[in-house]
Amino acid sequence: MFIIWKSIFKRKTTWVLMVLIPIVLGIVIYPLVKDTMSQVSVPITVVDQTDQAITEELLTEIEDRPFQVTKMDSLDLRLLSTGEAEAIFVFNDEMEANIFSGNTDEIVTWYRTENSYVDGLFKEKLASAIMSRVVRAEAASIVSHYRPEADWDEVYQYGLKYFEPRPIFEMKFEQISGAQNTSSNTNDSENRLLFIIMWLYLSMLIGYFTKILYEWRTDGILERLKLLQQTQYYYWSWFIGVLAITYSFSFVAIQLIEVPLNNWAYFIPFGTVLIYFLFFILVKKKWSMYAWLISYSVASFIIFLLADWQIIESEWMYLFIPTWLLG
Amino acid sequence: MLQLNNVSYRKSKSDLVNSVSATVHAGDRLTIFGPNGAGKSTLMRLMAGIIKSTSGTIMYNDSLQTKNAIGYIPQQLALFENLTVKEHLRFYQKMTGNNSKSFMNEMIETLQLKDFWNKQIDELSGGMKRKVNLAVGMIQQPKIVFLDEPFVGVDLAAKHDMLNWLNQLNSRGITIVFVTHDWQVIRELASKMWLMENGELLQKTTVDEVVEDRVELTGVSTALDKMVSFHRT
Ligand SMILES: Nc1ncnc2c1ncn2[C@@H]1O[C@H](COP(=O)(O)OP(=O)(O)OP(=O)(O)O)[C@@H](O)[C@H]1O
Ligand SMILES: [Mg+2]
Repeated sequence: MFIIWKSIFKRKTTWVLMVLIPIVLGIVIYPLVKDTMSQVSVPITVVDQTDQAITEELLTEIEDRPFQVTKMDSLDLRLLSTGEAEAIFVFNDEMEANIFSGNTDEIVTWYRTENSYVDGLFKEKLASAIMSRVVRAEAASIVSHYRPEADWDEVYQYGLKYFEPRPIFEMKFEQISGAQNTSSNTNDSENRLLFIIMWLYLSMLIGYFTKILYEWRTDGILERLKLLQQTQYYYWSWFIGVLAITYSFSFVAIQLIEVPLNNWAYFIPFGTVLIYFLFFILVKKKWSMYAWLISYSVASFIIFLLADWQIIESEWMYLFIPTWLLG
Repeated sequence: MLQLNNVSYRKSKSDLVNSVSATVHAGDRLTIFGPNGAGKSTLMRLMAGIIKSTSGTIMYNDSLQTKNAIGYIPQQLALFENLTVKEHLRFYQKMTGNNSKSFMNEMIETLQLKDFWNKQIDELSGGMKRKVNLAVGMIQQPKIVFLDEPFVGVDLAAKHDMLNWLNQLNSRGITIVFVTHDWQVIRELASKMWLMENGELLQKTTVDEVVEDRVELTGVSTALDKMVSFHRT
């Protein structure tokens, strides 16, 4: 096992294919991925030096999506220039006390740059969450003033029950669900495009390893091993090694691409390796193998895209291995 | 030791080996002689059991049915381009499980493999590669060995050492079957001779008979006729 792979990894081409090409693909593909990612997440930094309980409460109320909120205990404006934060909100040390006493002057400071676009939405949500608390606190104060037997905390907790309707200056935010879905769909189909590109790469890599098997056959190395009744050993080493490499690459790629997987998807690398191996057993001439497999890979690529766009929807498309992802 | 009955090997509608019947006896020093494309390599591969005949049978006696009994040195250099000589020998030694130190040492000595022990195959000269090819095929210490043009490009001194060693092995009971176009090798290593052409085994004779012009060659091509008479010059 070891010696066979030692001989494979001593070839420069192996390294070019396994290191250089993934890097180049990554340079082309990663920005694509990153682009779609930045569309759906807005980095926001919240600074609270005294770590007040209300901060956590407010942040949970403001839904995470599409914001990616980081809590810090000191102000670092460099985050804005590096783009690590779209905006920074600094909470006053006394914010909790101020809210409860109904004092709303400068309890939050908002830092942004001219490049900040979508942080306004966060500001509105934050203001709304704070205002509802201020109003409830005021209501609780009034109630406990006129009905001394009532507990302030309790009234505050049930503030909204005591104080209907909602104050007019609370803005209400609704996410338009249709729009959200569309964007996540384009995201998925982009990821599937990345997936099929990755599959083409894997197919090429397995093709390269198969080419080495052909070379060993024409060089007579396989005959030599056949004489020693060791061909099985050879095939197994090759098969297991190629599977290990293929699955490792798939695993890493899936982490980056985040394409949703079904159960069949896990067999895609196995199926691809198996098809190459069967071709090696059945097709004696290296060039016939290439012709067949290039056609197969290109056909798979096209069929996969057509199936993804739902232009074709029939059982035979599953003859083309990558479509198992859609099954 | 080994008996061929009407053995044929057919591929793409032509007989590469056509109905060959013959016997190889234990201890034989046999050469198969004939022009390019005569089917010599194919016949050797059939006898070594690497390919299966499409018709006819090959019978092996019991001693050849054990593991590692048959050795084969292919005409191509069946070597890993980027592994060293040492790695090759270790790998095949492990694979065949032959742990005879004295045999290994004798072989390494005769073929002078130590001189390029840690070099990769693609850094070796043609003759050096031939030596490694031979060593790898002999490593299992076979009872019968088929050598397909083992000395191409090997210099005279090395060839001399290798012939000596093979003769020694033969005197210890190893059967040797080989193909070559080199009359010097034939004279030193062979006693029996099969003449082959167009997939057919035309004549089973001896080197002595050929050298003394006692063989009757009728109906053979001028190529084979020339080849047989070449020993005189
Ligand atoms: N894999 C193959 N498929 C089809 N024909 C083949 C194959 N291998 C060899 N042949 C043909 O079989 C014939 C005999 O080939 P073989 O290699 O046995 O000849 P040979 O006597 O060893 O020749 P040489 O002296 O050149 O080594 C040749 O005509 C060759 O073209
Ligand atoms: Mg030949």
